Amino acid sequence: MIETPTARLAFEDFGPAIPPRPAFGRWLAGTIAGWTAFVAFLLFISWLLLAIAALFARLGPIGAAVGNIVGLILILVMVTATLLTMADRKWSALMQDRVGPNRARLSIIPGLRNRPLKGIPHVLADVLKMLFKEDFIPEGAMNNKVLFNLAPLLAFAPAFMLFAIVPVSPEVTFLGQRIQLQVARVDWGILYVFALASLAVFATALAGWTSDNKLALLGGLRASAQLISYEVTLGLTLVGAFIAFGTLRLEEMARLQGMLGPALRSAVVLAARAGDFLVRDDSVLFGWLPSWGFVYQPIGMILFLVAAQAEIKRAPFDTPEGESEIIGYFLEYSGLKSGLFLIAEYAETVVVAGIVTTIFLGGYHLPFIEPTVVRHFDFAWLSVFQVFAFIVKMLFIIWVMFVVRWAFPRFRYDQIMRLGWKMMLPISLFNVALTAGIFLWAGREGLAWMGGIEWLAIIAFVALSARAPRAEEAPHASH
Amino acid sequence: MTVNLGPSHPAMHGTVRLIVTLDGETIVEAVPEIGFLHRGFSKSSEHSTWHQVLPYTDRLNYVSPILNNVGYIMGVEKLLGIKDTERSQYLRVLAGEISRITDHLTCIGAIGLELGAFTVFLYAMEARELLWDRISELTGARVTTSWTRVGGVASDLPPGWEQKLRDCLPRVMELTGEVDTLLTRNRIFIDRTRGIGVLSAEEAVDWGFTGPCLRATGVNYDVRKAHPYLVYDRMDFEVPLGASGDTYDRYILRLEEIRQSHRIVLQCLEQMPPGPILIDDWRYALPPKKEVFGSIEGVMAHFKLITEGIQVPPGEVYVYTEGANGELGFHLVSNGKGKPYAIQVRGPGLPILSALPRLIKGHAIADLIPIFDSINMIGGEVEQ
Amino acid sequence: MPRTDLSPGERLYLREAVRGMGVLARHFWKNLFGFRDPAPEVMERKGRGVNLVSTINYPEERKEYPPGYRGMHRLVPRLDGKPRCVACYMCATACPAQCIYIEAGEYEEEAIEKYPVRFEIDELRCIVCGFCVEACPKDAIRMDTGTHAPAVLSRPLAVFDKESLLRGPAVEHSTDVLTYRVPLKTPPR
Ligand code: SF4
Ligand code: SF4
Repeated sequence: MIETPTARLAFEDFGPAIPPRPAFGRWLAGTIAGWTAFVAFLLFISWLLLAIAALFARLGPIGAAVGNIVGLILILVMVTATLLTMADRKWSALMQDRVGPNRARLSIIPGLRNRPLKGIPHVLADVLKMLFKEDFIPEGAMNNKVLFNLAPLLAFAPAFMLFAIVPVSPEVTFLGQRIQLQVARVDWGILYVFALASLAVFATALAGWTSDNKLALLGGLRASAQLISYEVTLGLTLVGAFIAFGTLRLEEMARLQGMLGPALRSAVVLAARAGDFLVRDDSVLFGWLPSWGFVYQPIGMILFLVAAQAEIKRAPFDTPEGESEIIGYFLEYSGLKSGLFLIAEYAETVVVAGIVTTIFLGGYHLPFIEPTVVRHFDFAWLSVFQVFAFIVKMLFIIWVMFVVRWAFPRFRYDQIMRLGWKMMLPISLFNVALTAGIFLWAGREGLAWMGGIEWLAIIAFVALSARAPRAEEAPHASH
Repeated sequence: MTVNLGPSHPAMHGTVRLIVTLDGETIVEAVPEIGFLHRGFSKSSEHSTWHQVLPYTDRLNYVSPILNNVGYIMGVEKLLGIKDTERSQYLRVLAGEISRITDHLTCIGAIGLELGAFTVFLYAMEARELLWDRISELTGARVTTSWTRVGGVASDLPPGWEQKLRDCLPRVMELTGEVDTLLTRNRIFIDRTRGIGVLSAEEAVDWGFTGPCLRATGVNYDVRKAHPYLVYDRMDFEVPLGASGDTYDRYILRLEEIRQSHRIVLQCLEQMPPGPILIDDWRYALPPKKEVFGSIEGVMAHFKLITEGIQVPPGEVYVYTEGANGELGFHLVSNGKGKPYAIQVRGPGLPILSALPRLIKGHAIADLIPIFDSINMIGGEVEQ
Repeated sequence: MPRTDLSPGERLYLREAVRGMGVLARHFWKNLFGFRDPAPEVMERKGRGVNLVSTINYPEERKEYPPGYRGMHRLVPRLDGKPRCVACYMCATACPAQCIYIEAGEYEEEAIEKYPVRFEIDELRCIVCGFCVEACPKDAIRMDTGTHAPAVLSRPLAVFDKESLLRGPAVEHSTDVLTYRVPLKTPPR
């Protein structure tokens, strides 16, 4: 590299141009080690969540609730949301052929000198930056200072509270305590989500209005209209699932998607006799299909994902933000307050992913291998693996949402409305009617058949719908 | 409600300010305000020799600088009544078409970026950087090329460059294809762009549109075909035409022009004859270094050319070439004193920008962004 | 270009959604499991499992500028270490940005009498056009350092004087030989 005289001059000034290319073997080993460490970390977190819940459960029922709040909301949601700010940038970098943020370093710690650490220190740097930025309140907002300051809190708090009803593990005995990783077990279940989610409207409307900024006001108006319209669709898409499972309680839904306690126990006994993979799992449909929600409700799942994406205002539904049009309803916020808006968005992503996992992806259930796991370990370990499975499924849904976010251009405001009212609402109503009809006629088995046919139809539709002739294949005018 | 968009606003690349009067979200009136990037091109060039104006032209349309270089130098050559060598003509076409690709890629990427499809932008940038790397190997700089000379070009193809270009063009086209996949048939994108910012052919002509924006309305006018210059008459390419003159047509037209320019580049590489890249006339072109170092005549010619500049006879010309955004015209006036008497540029962006209020009237504020991007205003050339 | 209407699949957003996400997912997985080759030349990155990432970590990895790149200036030394420049002011005349300042002086003992006492280039004014290199009749100024002008903290620091500009390998042309009165220790190549 340094043969040419000019390169030598550059070398004198700036040091070597290219670090040596890592050897393939070393890179492979590093990758495998990294993934192993990642999986181990997730397993550890799963264990930790259960352990915290068990520890607090010694203090009685209130202690159990506090333990769940600490474990799920403060650790699981908060940490995931914080890391997601980084993951969003890193993953988008990978989708866009970039390296992604890597300049923040923890050079003061001796062993970590000049290591990018996959960009994790950026989280720290961001938090520090937001903490130490001036908390600027524009003059026009001074009249409504209280409301102005309330808006970010109103965005932030509900986002975290939403997770309260999501069950992360079944009811198990862990470290001698009977626990379930779920903050609130309530009859109205998912209705709580709808109720709290609508609180977000206040945040955006207040932020837009009190900022005393025309662009922020436009953003606030767009956000309120959009959120209120999509509430309707959001609710209706899940009605099909309620019909299929016959309950509003998320923990019931999760339980119904795998083997119930006694069935699992007998399956374990059977597995001990007949070999691991010969056990007939009662919950498995047609002998091979896990009876997860997406089997019963394909349309419902897709619509729910879309509506949820709109409800949490992420691209392609981010018109309230629309950073190249109007800069967004949080335009006038600075420092930690704007940080609260941002983190609330990621927290909402986590919550939506959790709900989708619970209702449509079988919640914490592992497909097929649950009896085997119990036979080789025990029920406590099974629950660790189940929490692990939940987190992995949740991460997958988050990943899908991020891919959507980076793949598409933004809608226009009126087009969002058209999509919501003219397309999604009728389809979800149709879905409700169809699901109800089939359920009355043929029960859950029938719903599974319907779902299978719907999936096939969707795939065939996507694959076969002829692409109209490409414009560039058409004849050109030239002379 | 009146809203100020710009001069520092995420979508106003190239500093420009739009004073927009809104009724709800509908635009009642929009007044573009330019001048934030004014560099006094005409005035500064009166104080430099004909040759020294060249670097200024790099900075006109800074996304496709070589096209400006070529346009300006062709004007000077026309004043002088000389013709550059054949190889240099091919080189100019080659580099110019690469520049056109980079310009269109930037524009398409910006449309994607401002519509929220950030990935599209980065794919386009990746492709553009590949080409700009080739440009920098060829000319010595990515953007400020200053590559043409009176009677030729400054440097020949570096060794191995042709192969490199042939290697990277498929990758560029692949990335363009990915942009195509992500946007062209996407309903969200189509809803955002079809029927938005429509201008009829007559109106476009009246406004003085040229280039992709004019062709999007269906008018078949491309300087490269209508009045072939350099070696464009030997190239086999087609001029894509739009039908309705809306944002979508402007976008798809640029995509198609990238493919056509790709064809031209490949043809150039094939047809390019060997030979000198600069004319051997020491009145206009610097003598080769060997002569300067070794012979007294060379040194004399060299000194004379540098100190006095090229002696251009009095006269007045207007040359027009097909810039990336339309007809790029240079109006040069010489009084025979070695310095330009006056230089005016017909930047293709100005007439198009002046039609912006007409284009966006009645649309939603969100539509302003794709329209503004698709006309591809380049601050440098609008405000010389 | 006739416009084509959307097919039903495209109308429902689904088809393009799947295709678009497919493109992104392909990039994602390729880049996640790929092996980042830091070779700065993107087209040269080939081999097993190399991913598509096309950016480089700038200060640690740099892209070498191509040979013809117009970088930072240097004054070319003679074999005896003095600048080849004869202070003819050609570069200063040709410079469109007027950023070269020269003060001429005289050697006592040499055939080449003139030399620059001061030779300064204001790298902030410079527009990197390369006209000075083209204008020099002695091949005394070049822009082949392969670096760009470094960032500075105050404007005066961007004015580079003769001492800091005079660097790099010496250059000798066959036409130069006659100009030495004192024989050189190392004979010119
Ligand atoms: S590169 Fe151009 S601007 Fe810079 S010193 Fe040389 S002639 Fe002047
Ligand atoms: S660098 Fe070259 S052109 Fe400039 S004064 Fe010295 S000899 Fe003359």
